[in-house]
Amino acid sequence: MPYGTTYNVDTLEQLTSYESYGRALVELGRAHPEVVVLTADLSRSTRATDFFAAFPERSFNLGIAEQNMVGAAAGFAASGFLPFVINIATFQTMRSFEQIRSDFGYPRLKGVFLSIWSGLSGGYVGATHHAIEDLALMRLIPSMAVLAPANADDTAAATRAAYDHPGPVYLRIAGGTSARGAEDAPFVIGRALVTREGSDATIVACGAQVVAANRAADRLAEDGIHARVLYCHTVKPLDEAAVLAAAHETRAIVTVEDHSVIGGLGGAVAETLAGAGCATRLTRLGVPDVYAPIGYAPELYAHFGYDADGIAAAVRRALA
Amino acid sequence: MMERADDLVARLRARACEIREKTIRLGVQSGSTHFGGSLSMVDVLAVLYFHVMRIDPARPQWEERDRFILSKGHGATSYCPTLATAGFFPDAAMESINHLGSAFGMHIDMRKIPGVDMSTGSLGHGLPVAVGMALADRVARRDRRVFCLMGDAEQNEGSIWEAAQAAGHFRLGRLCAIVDRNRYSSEGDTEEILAIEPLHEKYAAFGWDACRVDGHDIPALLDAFGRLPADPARPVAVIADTIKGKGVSFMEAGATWHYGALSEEDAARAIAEIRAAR
Repeated sequence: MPYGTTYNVDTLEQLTSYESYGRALVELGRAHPEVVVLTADLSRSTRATDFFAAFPERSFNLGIAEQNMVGAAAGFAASGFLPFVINIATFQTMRSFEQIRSDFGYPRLKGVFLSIWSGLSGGYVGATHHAIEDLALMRLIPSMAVLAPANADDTAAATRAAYDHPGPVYLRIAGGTSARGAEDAPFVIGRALVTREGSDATIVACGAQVVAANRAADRLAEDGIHARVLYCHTVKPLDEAAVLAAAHETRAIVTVEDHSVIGGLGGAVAETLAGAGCATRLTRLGVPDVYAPIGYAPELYAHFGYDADGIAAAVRRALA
Repeated sequence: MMERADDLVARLRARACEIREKTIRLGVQSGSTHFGGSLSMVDVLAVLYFHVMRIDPARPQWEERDRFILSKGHGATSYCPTLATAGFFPDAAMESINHLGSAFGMHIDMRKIPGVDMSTGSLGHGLPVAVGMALADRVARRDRRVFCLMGDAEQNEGSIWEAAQAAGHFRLGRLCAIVDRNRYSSEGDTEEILAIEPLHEKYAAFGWDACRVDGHDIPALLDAFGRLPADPARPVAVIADTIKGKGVSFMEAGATWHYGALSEEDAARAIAEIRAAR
Protein backbone atom coordinates (compact mmCIF):
# COMPACT_ATOMS: atom_id res chain seq x y z
CA MET A 1 0.00 0.00 0.00
CA PRO A 2 1.59 3.28 -1.04
CA TYR A 3 0.17 5.60 1.57
CA GLY A 4 0.23 4.00 4.96
CA THR A 5 0.22 0.99 7.16
CA THR A 6 -2.91 -0.92 8.12
CA TYR A 7 -3.34 -1.32 11.84
CA ASN A 8 -5.83 -1.73 14.59
CA VAL A 9 -6.69 0.88 17.21
CA ASP A 10 -9.60 -0.88 18.83
CA THR A 11 -8.04 -3.00 21.53
CA LEU A 12 -9.15 -1.23 24.64
CA GLU A 13 -6.72 -0.62 27.46
CA GLN A 14 -7.35 1.32 30.64
CA LEU A 15 -4.77 4.01 30.08
CA THR A 16 -6.13 7.42 29.23
CA SER A 17 -4.52 9.73 26.74
CA TYR A 18 -3.96 12.19 29.58
CA GLU A 19 -1.98 9.68 31.60
CA SER A 20 -0.17 8.63 28.48
CA TYR A 21 1.12 12.07 27.48
CA GLY A 22 1.91 12.80 31.13
CA ARG A 23 4.26 9.83 31.21
CA ALA A 24 5.79 10.74 27.84
CA LEU A 25 6.46 14.23 29.13
CA VAL A 26 8.34 12.89 32.14
CA GLU A 27 10.47 10.73 29.83
CA LEU A 28 11.24 13.79 27.70
CA GLY A 29 12.05 15.82 30.79
CA ARG A 30 14.45 13.15 31.98
CA ALA A 31 16.25 12.98 28.63
CA HIS A 32 16.22 16.68 27.79
CA PRO A 33 17.06 19.32 30.39
CA GLU A 34 15.72 22.10 28.14
CA VAL A 35 12.12 20.86 28.45
CA VAL A 36 9.98 23.08 30.69
CA VAL A 37 6.24 22.83 31.39
CA LEU A 38 3.87 25.76 31.90
CA THR A 39 0.25 25.57 32.94
CA ALA A 40 -2.46 28.05 33.94
CA ASP A 41 -3.61 26.57 37.26
CA LEU A 42 -4.47 23.30 35.55
CA SER A 43 -1.61 20.97 36.38
CA ARG A 44 -3.97 18.51 38.10
CA SER A 45 -6.76 18.65 35.52
CA THR A 46 -4.26 18.23 32.71
CA ARG A 47 -2.25 15.47 34.44
CA ALA A 48 0.89 17.56 34.17
CA THR A 49 1.37 16.61 37.82
CA ASP A 50 3.83 13.82 36.98
CA PHE A 51 6.19 16.32 35.37
CA PHE A 52 5.62 18.83 38.18
CA ALA A 53 6.56 16.17 40.74
CA ALA A 54 9.61 14.95 38.83
CA PHE A 55 11.00 18.35 37.80
CA PRO A 56 9.68 21.06 40.10
CA GLU A 57 12.38 23.54 39.05
CA ARG A 58 11.23 23.27 35.42
CA SER A 59 7.49 23.39 36.14
CA PHE A 60 5.55 26.62 36.25
CA ASN A 61 1.99 27.25 37.28
CA LEU A 62 1.47 30.79 36.01
CA GLY A 63 -2.03 31.18 37.34
CA ILE A 64 -5.16 31.89 35.36
CA ALA A 65 -3.37 34.29 33.04
CA GLU A 66 -3.10 32.60 29.66
CA GLN A 67 -1.71 35.50 27.64
CA ASN A 68 1.16 35.94 30.07
CA MET A 69 1.74 32.19 30.16
CA VAL A 70 2.15 31.91 26.40
CA GLY A 71 4.26 35.08 26.22
CA ALA A 72 6.45 33.73 29.03
CA ALA A 73 6.72 30.44 27.14
CA ALA A 74 8.06 32.43 24.18
CA GLY A 75 10.61 34.00 26.54
CA PHE A 76 11.72 30.49 27.49
CA ALA A 77 11.87 29.47 23.83
CA ALA A 78 13.98 32.54 23.00
CA SER A 79 16.35 31.54 25.82
CA GLY A 80 17.17 28.02 24.66
CA PHE A 81 14.37 26.08 26.37
CA LEU A 82 11.57 24.03 24.82
CA PRO A 83 8.29 24.96 26.52
CA PHE A 84 5.35 22.56 26.66
CA VAL A 85 2.31 24.73 27.35
CA ILE A 86 -0.62 22.80 28.72
CA ASN A 87 -4.14 24.14 28.94
CA ILE A 88 -7.79 23.57 28.17
CA ALA A 89 -8.17 23.76 24.39
CA THR A 90 -10.56 26.72 24.26
CA PHE A 91 -8.43 28.96 26.46
CA GLN A 92 -5.18 27.73 24.93
CA THR A 93 -6.14 28.59 21.39
CA MET A 94 -8.46 31.54 21.82
CA ARG A 95 -7.49 33.57 24.88
CA SER A 96 -3.84 33.48 23.88
CA PHE A 97 -4.21 33.06 20.11
CA GLU A 98 -2.34 36.24 19.32
CA GLN A 99 0.55 35.25 21.59
CA ILE A 100 0.79 31.87 19.85
CA ARG A 101 0.66 33.62 16.49
CA SER A 102 2.92 36.61 17.09
CA ASP A 103 5.27 35.32 19.82
CA PHE A 104 5.78 31.80 18.41
CA GLY A 105 4.52 31.62 14.82
CA TYR A 106 5.94 34.85 13.47
CA PRO A 107 9.40 34.67 15.11
CA ARG A 108 9.51 30.90 14.41
CA LEU A 109 10.07 29.95 18.04
CA LYS A 110 9.56 26.36 19.04
CA GLY A 111 6.87 25.48 21.54
CA VAL A 112 4.45 22.61 22.02
CA PHE A 113 0.85 23.45 22.89
CA LEU A 114 -0.92 20.53 24.52
CA SER A 115 -4.66 20.89 24.89
CA ILE A 116 -7.17 18.90 26.85
CA TRP A 117 -10.98 19.00 26.61
CA SER A 118 -10.92 18.96 22.85
CA GLY A 119 -14.14 19.23 20.90
CA LEU A 120 -17.24 18.35 22.88
CA SER A 121 -15.37 15.84 25.05
CA GLY A 122 -16.14 17.91 28.14
CA GLY A 123 -19.82 17.22 27.45
CA TYR A 124 -21.96 19.05 29.98
CA VAL A 125 -19.24 21.66 30.65
CA GLY A 126 -21.09 23.75 28.11
CA ALA A 127 -20.15 25.88 25.13
CA THR A 128 -17.59 28.06 26.95
CA HIS A 129 -15.48 24.93 27.44
CA HIS A 130 -16.19 23.18 24.14
CA ALA A 131 -13.26 23.52 21.74
CA ILE A 132 -14.74 23.37 18.29
CA GLU A 133 -12.46 26.01 16.75
CA ASP A 134 -8.97 25.02 17.87
CA LEU A 135 -7.92 22.97 14.84
CA ALA A 136 -9.04 25.73 12.47
CA LEU A 137 -7.22 28.44 14.43
CA MET A 138 -3.99 26.49 14.75
CA ARG A 139 -4.04 25.55 11.05
CA LEU A 140 -3.89 29.28 10.30
CA ILE A 141 -0.44 29.68 11.82
CA PRO A 142 2.38 29.17 9.32
CA SER A 143 4.75 26.34 10.29
CA MET A 144 2.44 25.04 13.05
CA ALA A 145 1.97 21.26 12.97
CA VAL A 146 -1.53 20.31 14.14
CA LEU A 147 -1.90 16.85 15.69
CA ALA A 148 -5.01 15.01 16.84
CA PRO A 149 -4.02 11.48 17.87
CA ALA A 150 -6.74 8.89 18.46
CA ASN A 151 -5.58 7.02 21.51
CA ALA A 152 -3.27 6.82 24.47
CA ASP A 153 -0.30 5.24 22.71
CA ASP A 154 -0.46 7.65 19.83
CA THR A 155 -0.80 10.56 22.21
CA ALA A 156 2.48 9.49 23.82
CA ALA A 157 4.03 9.03 20.37
CA ALA A 158 2.74 12.44 19.29
CA THR A 159 4.25 14.03 22.40
CA ARG A 160 7.62 12.50 21.53
CA ALA A 161 7.26 13.47 17.84
CA ALA A 162 6.41 17.02 18.90
CA TYR A 163 9.75 17.22 20.69
CA ASP A 164 11.63 16.17 17.55
CA HIS A 165 9.61 18.31 15.13
CA PRO A 166 11.52 21.41 14.01
CA GLY A 167 8.63 23.89 14.34
CA PRO A 168 5.86 24.68 16.84
CA VAL A 169 3.28 21.95 17.43
CA TYR A 170 -0.34 21.98 18.51
CA LEU A 171 -1.31 18.66 20.09
CA ARG A 172 -4.95 18.03 20.77
CA ILE A 173 -5.47 15.37 23.38
CA ALA A 174 -8.75 13.47 23.15
CA GLY A 175 -10.41 12.98 26.51
CA GLY A 176 -11.29 9.77 28.26
CA THR A 177 -10.10 6.21 28.03
CA SER A 178 -9.34 5.31 24.49
CA ALA A 179 -8.12 2.54 22.28
CA ARG A 180 -4.63 1.21 22.13
CA GLY A 181 -2.49 1.77 19.04
CA ALA A 182 -0.58 -0.62 16.84
CA GLU A 183 2.78 -1.97 17.78
CA ASP A 184 4.18 -1.85 14.26
CA ALA A 185 2.89 1.48 12.92
CA PRO A 186 5.29 4.31 13.57
CA PHE A 187 3.78 7.70 14.36
CA VAL A 188 5.16 10.01 11.71
CA ILE A 189 3.94 13.61 11.59
CA GLY A 190 2.22 14.16 8.25
CA ARG A 191 1.61 10.49 7.43
CA ALA A 192 -1.94 9.16 7.62
CA LEU A 193 -2.65 5.53 8.55
CA VAL A 194 -5.25 3.19 7.13
CA THR A 195 -7.03 1.48 10.01
CA ARG A 196 -9.66 -0.28 7.83
CA GLU A 197 -9.30 -1.31 4.22
CA GLY A 198 -12.14 -0.57 1.83
CA SER A 199 -12.95 0.42 -1.71
CA ASP A 200 -16.53 1.73 -1.54
CA ALA A 201 -16.11 4.87 0.55
CA THR A 202 -13.48 6.43 2.81
CA ILE A 203 -14.01 7.76 6.30
CA VAL A 204 -11.29 10.31 7.11
CA ALA A 205 -11.04 10.80 10.86
CA CYS A 206 -8.86 12.28 13.56
CA GLY A 207 -8.82 12.13 17.34
CA ALA A 208 -11.01 9.71 19.26
CA GLN A 209 -13.44 9.68 16.32
CA VAL A 210 -11.13 7.17 14.62
CA VAL A 211 -12.48 4.57 17.03
CA ALA A 212 -16.07 5.47 16.07
CA ALA A 213 -15.10 5.42 12.40
CA ASN A 214 -13.69 1.92 12.75
CA ARG A 215 -16.88 0.73 14.45
CA ALA A 216 -18.93 2.30 11.67
CA ALA A 217 -16.78 0.53 9.06
CA ASP A 218 -17.27 -2.80 10.83
CA ARG A 219 -21.07 -2.34 10.87
CA LEU A 220 -21.10 -1.34 7.21
CA ALA A 221 -19.00 -4.40 6.35
CA GLU A 222 -21.74 -6.61 7.77
CA ASP A 223 -23.98 -5.17 5.03
CA GLY A 224 -21.35 -5.63 2.36
CA ILE A 225 -20.25 -1.98 2.27
CA HIS A 226 -16.49 -1.73 2.47
CA ALA A 227 -15.43 1.59 3.95
CA ARG A 228 -11.79 2.51 4.23
CA VAL A 229 -10.82 4.41 7.37
CA LEU A 230 -8.02 6.91 6.96
CA TYR A 231 -6.65 8.06 10.30
CA CYS A 232 -5.24 11.57 9.88
CA HIS A 233 -3.57 12.14 13.23
CA THR A 234 -1.85 15.06 11.53
CA VAL A 235 -4.42 17.63 10.44
CA LYS A 236 -1.58 19.88 9.27
CA PRO A 237 0.41 19.14 7.21
CA LEU A 238 -2.36 16.93 5.86
CA ASP A 239 -1.33 13.72 4.10
CA GLU A 240 -2.76 14.96 0.81
CA ALA A 241 -1.49 11.96 -1.15
CA ALA A 242 -3.44 9.58 1.07
CA VAL A 243 -6.59 11.74 0.83
CA LEU A 244 -6.37 12.01 -2.95
CA ALA A 245 -5.69 8.28 -3.30
CA ALA A 246 -8.85 7.63 -1.27
CA ALA A 247 -10.77 10.05 -3.47
CA HIS A 248 -9.63 8.22 -6.58
CA GLU A 249 -10.03 4.70 -5.26
CA THR A 250 -13.36 5.03 -3.41
CA ARG A 251 -16.66 6.67 -4.37
CA ALA A 252 -17.27 8.98 -1.42
CA ILE A 253 -15.35 10.72 1.35
CA VAL A 254 -16.81 11.29 4.82
CA THR A 255 -14.73 13.34 7.25
CA VAL A 256 -15.26 12.98 11.00
CA GLU A 257 -13.90 15.22 13.72
CA ASP A 258 -14.89 16.48 17.15
CA HIS A 259 -14.74 20.08 15.89
CA SER A 260 -16.67 22.53 13.79
CA VAL A 261 -17.15 21.33 10.23
CA ILE A 262 -15.55 24.65 9.24
CA GLY A 263 -11.79 24.92 9.02
CA GLY A 264 -10.61 21.71 10.69
CA LEU A 265 -10.01 18.27 9.20
CA GLY A 266 -13.11 18.49 6.97
CA GLY A 267 -12.03 21.91 5.78
CA ALA A 268 -8.50 20.70 5.04
CA VAL A 269 -9.83 17.69 3.10
CA ALA A 270 -12.25 19.93 1.15
CA GLU A 271 -9.41 22.28 0.22
CA THR A 272 -7.28 19.35 -0.91
CA LEU A 273 -10.03 17.77 -3.02
CA ALA A 274 -11.11 21.04 -4.61
CA GLY A 275 -7.53 22.07 -5.29
CA ALA A 276 -6.88 18.81 -7.13
CA GLY A 277 -10.06 19.20 -9.18
CA CYS A 278 -11.44 16.09 -7.55
CA ALA A 279 -15.21 15.62 -7.84
CA THR A 280 -15.57 12.82 -5.30
CA ARG A 281 -18.56 13.48 -3.06
CA LEU A 282 -17.56 14.92 0.32
CA THR A 283 -19.60 14.81 3.55
CA ARG A 284 -18.21 16.64 6.57
CA LEU A 285 -19.31 15.33 9.97
CA GLY A 286 -18.68 17.27 13.14
CA VAL A 287 -20.33 20.17 14.91
CA PRO A 288 -22.38 22.16 12.40
CA ASP A 289 -22.18 25.94 12.58
CA VAL A 290 -23.79 26.13 16.04
CA TYR A 291 -22.86 25.95 19.73
CA ALA A 292 -23.58 22.60 21.26
CA PRO A 293 -26.22 22.05 23.95
CA ILE A 294 -25.52 20.50 27.38
CA GLY A 295 -25.19 16.75 27.41
CA TYR A 296 -22.79 13.90 28.06
CA ALA A 297 -20.22 13.67 25.28
CA PRO A 298 -21.58 10.43 23.73
CA GLU A 299 -25.05 12.01 23.68
CA LEU A 300 -23.67 15.06 21.92
CA TYR A 301 -21.84 12.95 19.33
CA ALA A 302 -25.07 11.10 18.61
CA HIS A 303 -27.00 14.39 18.56
CA PHE A 304 -24.75 15.80 15.86
CA GLY A 305 -24.49 12.48 14.01
CA TYR A 306 -20.84 11.64 14.41
CA ASP A 307 -20.95 8.62 16.68
CA ALA A 308 -20.50 5.22 15.02
CA ASP A 309 -24.18 5.02 13.99
CA GLY A 310 -24.16 8.53 12.57
CA ILE A 311 -20.98 7.90 10.61
CA ALA A 312 -22.36 4.64 9.16
CA ALA A 313 -25.57 6.43 8.17
CA ALA A 314 -23.60 9.21 6.50
CA VAL A 315 -21.63 6.67 4.46
CA ARG A 316 -24.84 4.96 3.35
CA ARG A 317 -26.33 8.31 2.31
CA ALA A 318 -23.22 9.25 0.40
CA LEU A 319 -23.26 6.00 -1.54
CA ALA A 320 -27.03 5.99 -2.14
CA MET B 1 40.41 53.57 33.60
CA MET B 2 36.99 54.60 34.86
CA GLU B 3 35.22 57.18 32.77
CA ARG B 4 34.63 60.38 34.72
CA ALA B 5 30.97 60.98 35.50
CA ASP B 6 30.85 64.23 33.54
CA ASP B 7 32.48 62.62 30.53
CA LEU B 8 30.03 59.74 30.68
CA VAL B 9 27.03 62.07 30.72
CA ALA B 10 28.45 64.13 27.87
CA ARG B 11 29.15 61.00 25.85
CA LEU B 12 25.61 59.67 26.37
CA ARG B 13 24.07 63.05 25.50
CA ALA B 14 26.06 63.06 22.27
CA ARG B 15 24.85 59.54 21.49
CA ALA B 16 21.26 60.58 22.14
CA CYS B 17 21.62 63.51 19.72
CA GLU B 18 23.16 61.23 17.12
CA ILE B 19 20.26 58.76 17.48
CA ARG B 20 17.67 61.56 17.29
CA GLU B 21 19.18 62.85 14.07
CA LYS B 22 19.19 59.35 12.57
CA THR B 23 15.59 58.92 13.73
CA ILE B 24 14.54 61.97 11.74
CA ARG B 25 16.45 60.74 8.69
CA LEU B 26 15.00 57.22 8.92
CA GLY B 27 11.52 58.65 9.47
CA VAL B 28 11.81 60.76 6.34
CA GLN B 29 13.00 57.73 4.41
CA SER B 30 10.00 55.78 5.74
CA GLY B 31 7.57 58.37 4.41
CA SER B 32 5.62 58.55 7.63
CA THR B 33 6.29 57.01 11.01
CA HIS B 34 5.86 57.17 14.79
CA PHE B 35 8.10 60.18 15.39
CA GLY B 36 6.72 61.23 18.78
CA GLY B 37 7.13 57.97 20.67
CA SER B 38 10.42 57.20 18.95
CA LEU B 39 11.98 60.50 20.03
CA SER B 40 10.65 60.33 23.60
CA MET B 41 12.56 57.12 24.42
CA VAL B 42 15.95 58.03 22.94
CA ASP B 43 17.66 59.05 26.19
CA VAL B 44 16.60 55.80 27.85
CA LEU B 45 17.98 53.85 24.89
CA ALA B 46 21.25 55.79 24.92
CA VAL B 47 21.82 55.09 28.62
CA LEU B 48 20.96 51.39 28.26
CA TYR B 49 22.83 50.64 25.04
CA PHE B 50 25.90 52.80 25.63
CA HIS B 51 26.46 52.23 29.32
CA VAL B 52 24.15 49.97 31.31
CA MET B 53 23.60 46.82 29.27
CA ARG B 54 26.08 44.00 28.84
CA ILE B 55 26.11 43.56 25.06
CA ASP B 56 28.60 42.81 22.31
CA PRO B 57 27.42 44.12 18.94
CA ALA B 58 29.99 41.85 17.24
CA ARG B 59 28.17 38.87 18.77
CA PRO B 60 24.43 39.63 18.70
CA GLN B 61 23.60 36.07 19.82
CA TRP B 62 26.12 36.06 22.71
CA GLU B 63 24.51 33.90 25.41
CA GLU B 64 25.53 36.06 28.34
CA ARG B 65 24.21 39.32 26.94
CA ASP B 66 21.52 41.25 28.77
CA ARG B 67 18.20 40.98 26.95
CA PHE B 68 16.17 43.92 25.74
CA ILE B 69 12.59 43.78 24.52
CA LEU B 70 11.03 46.77 22.85
CA SER B 71 7.43 46.08 23.75
CA LYS B 72 6.43 49.34 22.03
CA GLY B 73 7.59 47.92 18.71
CA HIS B 74 6.47 51.07 16.91
CA GLY B 75 9.47 52.80 18.48
CA ALA B 76 11.56 51.11 15.77
CA THR B 77 12.35 54.45 14.16
CA SER B 78 14.74 55.31 17.00
CA TYR B 79 15.45 51.77 18.15
CA CYS B 80 16.95 50.58 14.86
CA PRO B 81 19.25 53.63 14.61
CA THR B 82 20.29 52.90 18.23
CA LEU B 83 21.31 49.37 17.26
CA ALA B 84 23.14 50.71 14.20
CA THR B 85 24.95 53.33 16.28
CA ALA B 86 25.95 50.62 18.76
CA GLY B 87 27.47 48.69 15.86
CA PHE B 88 25.04 45.81 15.30
CA PHE B 89 24.78 46.75 11.60
CA PRO B 90 25.75 49.70 9.40
CA ASP B 91 23.40 52.68 9.03
CA ALA B 92 23.21 51.91 5.31
CA ALA B 93 21.41 48.63 6.07
CA MET B 94 18.30 50.67 6.93
CA GLU B 95 18.12 52.38 3.53
CA SER B 96 15.79 49.71 2.16
CA ILE B 97 13.23 50.39 4.91
CA ASN B 98 9.63 49.47 4.06
CA HIS B 99 10.51 48.03 0.64
CA LEU B 100 9.86 44.43 -0.35
CA GLY B 101 12.24 42.08 1.43
CA SER B 102 13.78 44.71 3.73
CA ALA B 103 14.68 43.66 7.27
CA PHE B 104 13.30 47.03 8.37
CA GLY B 105 9.67 48.09 8.49
CA MET B 106 7.38 49.78 10.95
CA HIS B 107 8.04 47.15 13.66
CA ILE B 108 10.94 44.84 14.48
CA ASP B 109 11.78 41.25 13.51
CA MET B 110 14.28 39.29 15.64
CA ARG B 111 15.00 36.95 12.74
CA LYS B 112 16.09 39.76 10.44
CA ILE B 113 17.60 42.57 12.52
CA PRO B 114 20.82 41.80 14.43
CA GLY B 115 20.52 42.83 18.07
CA VAL B 116 16.74 42.45 18.30
CA ASP B 117 15.96 39.92 21.04
CA MET B 118 12.22 39.61 20.36
CA SER B 119 9.93 40.39 17.45
CA THR B 120 7.34 42.91 18.54
CA GLY B 121 4.66 45.18 17.16
CA SER B 122 1.45 44.18 18.89
CA LEU B 123 1.16 45.99 22.22
CA GLY B 124 1.06 44.12 25.50
CA HIS B 125 3.34 41.29 24.36
CA GLY B 126 6.76 42.37 25.62
CA LEU B 127 6.45 42.09 29.39
CA PRO B 128 5.13 38.49 29.36
CA VAL B 129 8.05 37.45 27.15
CA ALA B 130 10.45 39.29 29.48
CA VAL B 131 8.96 37.37 32.42
CA GLY B 132 9.66 34.10 30.59
CA MET B 133 13.23 35.15 29.83
CA ALA B 134 13.85 36.04 33.47
CA LEU B 135 12.36 32.70 34.61
CA ALA B 136 14.50 30.90 32.02
CA ASP B 137 17.61 32.62 33.33
CA ARG B 138 16.74 31.45 36.81
CA VAL B 139 16.40 27.83 35.64
CA ALA B 140 19.67 28.11 33.67
CA ARG B 141 21.38 29.94 36.57
CA ARG B 142 22.46 32.77 34.29
CA ASP B 143 23.11 36.23 35.70
CA ARG B 144 21.74 38.18 32.74
CA ARG B 145 19.30 41.00 33.21
CA VAL B 146 16.17 41.46 31.13
CA PHE B 147 15.00 44.95 30.18
CA CYS B 148 11.58 45.64 28.70
CA LEU B 149 10.67 49.07 27.38
CA MET B 150 6.94 49.68 27.12
CA GLY B 151 4.74 52.51 26.02
CA ASP B 152 2.55 54.31 28.51
CA ALA B 153 -0.80 53.84 26.77
CA GLU B 154 0.26 50.21 26.34
CA GLN B 155 -0.36 49.93 30.08
CA ASN B 156 -4.05 49.70 29.16
CA GLU B 157 -3.40 46.13 27.93
CA GLY B 158 -4.48 43.45 30.39
CA SER B 159 -1.61 41.16 29.46
CA ILE B 160 0.83 43.71 30.95
CA TRP B 161 -0.84 43.30 34.33
CA GLU B 162 -0.87 39.51 34.06
CA ALA B 163 2.89 39.75 33.56
CA ALA B 164 3.25 42.34 36.33
CA GLN B 165 1.55 39.91 38.73
CA ALA B 166 3.84 37.08 37.61
CA ALA B 167 7.05 39.14 37.93
CA GLY B 168 6.11 40.17 41.44
CA HIS B 169 4.98 36.70 42.43
CA PHE B 170 8.08 34.95 41.09
CA ARG B 171 10.34 37.67 42.56
CA LEU B 172 12.14 38.33 39.28
CA GLY B 173 14.84 40.62 40.63
CA ARG B 174 16.78 40.61 37.36
CA LEU B 175 13.86 42.00 35.39
CA CYS B 176 13.55 45.72 34.71
CA ALA B 177 10.48 47.24 33.10
CA ILE B 178 10.64 50.77 31.78
CA VAL B 179 7.58 52.79 30.86
CA ASP B 180 8.12 55.60 28.37
CA ARG B 181 5.63 57.94 30.04
CA ASN B 182 5.23 60.48 27.25
CA ARG B 183 1.60 61.07 28.22
CA TYR B 184 -0.01 60.76 24.81
CA SER B 185 -1.32 57.86 22.80
CA SER B 186 -2.45 57.95 19.20
CA GLU B 187 -5.62 59.81 20.02
CA GLY B 188 -4.76 62.06 22.92
CA ASP B 189 -3.94 62.34 26.62
CA THR B 190 -3.75 58.90 28.24
CA GLU B 191 -5.56 60.21 31.32
CA GLU B 192 -8.52 61.31 29.22
CA ILE B 193 -8.74 58.13 27.13
CA LEU B 194 -8.21 55.41 29.74
CA ALA B 195 -6.28 56.62 32.77
CA ILE B 196 -3.18 54.65 33.78
CA GLU B 197 -2.05 56.67 36.79
CA PRO B 198 -0.93 56.30 39.50
CA LEU B 199 1.45 54.09 37.57
CA HIS B 200 4.41 53.59 39.89
CA GLU B 201 2.04 52.95 42.79
CA LYS B 202 0.37 50.25 40.72
CA TYR B 203 3.65 48.50 40.02
CA ALA B 204 4.61 48.84 43.69
CA ALA B 205 1.31 47.24 44.66
CA PHE B 206 2.16 44.32 42.36
CA GLY B 207 5.37 43.71 44.27
CA TRP B 208 7.78 45.75 42.19
CA ASP B 209 10.49 48.18 43.26
CA ALA B 210 9.07 51.13 41.36
CA CYS B 211 10.58 54.54 40.82
CA ARG B 212 9.82 57.59 38.77
CA VAL B 213 12.51 59.54 36.92
CA ASP B 214 12.86 62.28 34.37
CA GLY B 215 13.38 60.19 31.24
CA HIS B 216 15.54 62.85 29.63
CA ASP B 217 17.79 63.44 32.65
CA ILE B 218 20.79 61.25 31.91
CA PRO B 219 22.35 61.35 35.41
CA ALA B 220 18.92 60.43 36.86
CA LEU B 221 18.57 57.53 34.41
CA LEU B 222 22.10 56.37 35.27
CA ASP B 223 21.12 56.37 38.94
CA ALA B 224 17.89 54.46 38.25
CA PHE B 225 19.54 51.77 36.15
CA GLY B 226 22.84 51.78 38.03
CA ARG B 227 21.39 50.06 41.05
CA LEU B 228 20.19 46.98 39.15
CA PRO B 229 19.55 44.44 40.41
CA ALA B 230 18.50 46.49 43.40
CA ASP B 231 16.74 43.77 45.36
CA PRO B 232 17.17 40.14 44.25
CA ALA B 233 13.55 39.45 45.16
CA ARG B 234 11.85 42.38 43.46
CA PRO B 235 11.58 43.36 39.80
CA VAL B 236 12.27 47.01 39.05
CA ALA B 237 9.88 49.37 37.29
CA VAL B 238 11.27 52.65 36.04
CA ILE B 239 8.55 55.07 35.08
CA ALA B 240 10.40 57.48 32.80
CA ASP B 241 8.54 60.77 32.48
CA THR B 242 9.26 61.93 28.96
CA ILE B 243 8.15 64.41 26.36
CA LYS B 244 6.60 63.00 23.23
CA GLY B 245 8.66 64.22 20.25
CA LYS B 246 11.52 65.29 22.55
CA GLY B 247 14.25 67.29 20.84
CA VAL B 248 12.17 68.81 18.05
CA SER B 249 10.24 71.86 19.25
CA PHE B 250 7.32 71.59 16.86
CA MET B 251 6.85 67.91 17.64
CA GLU B 252 7.06 68.18 21.41
CA ALA B 253 4.06 67.24 23.57
CA GLY B 254 0.59 66.45 22.32
CA ALA B 255 -0.59 63.61 20.17
CA THR B 256 -0.14 65.41 16.84
CA TRP B 257 3.21 63.78 16.09
CA HIS B 258 2.29 60.31 17.34
CA TYR B 259 2.42 59.36 13.69
CA GLY B 260 3.05 61.49 10.66
CA ALA B 261 5.20 62.53 7.74
CA LEU B 262 7.88 65.26 7.76
CA SER B 263 8.45 67.56 4.84
CA GLU B 264 12.07 67.99 3.70
CA GLU B 265 12.00 71.50 5.08
CA ASP B 266 10.69 70.48 8.51
CA ALA B 267 13.16 67.61 8.63
CA ALA B 268 15.99 70.08 8.08
CA ARG B 269 14.61 72.27 10.88
CA ALA B 270 14.35 69.26 13.16
CA ILE B 271 17.93 68.18 12.48
CA ALA B 272 19.21 71.73 13.01
CA GLU B 273 17.49 71.85 16.42
CA ILE B 274 18.85 68.45 17.42
CA ARG B 275 22.38 69.46 16.42
CA ALA B 276 22.12 72.76 18.25
CA ALA B 277 21.26 70.90 21.45
CA ARG B 278 24.45 68.87 21.28
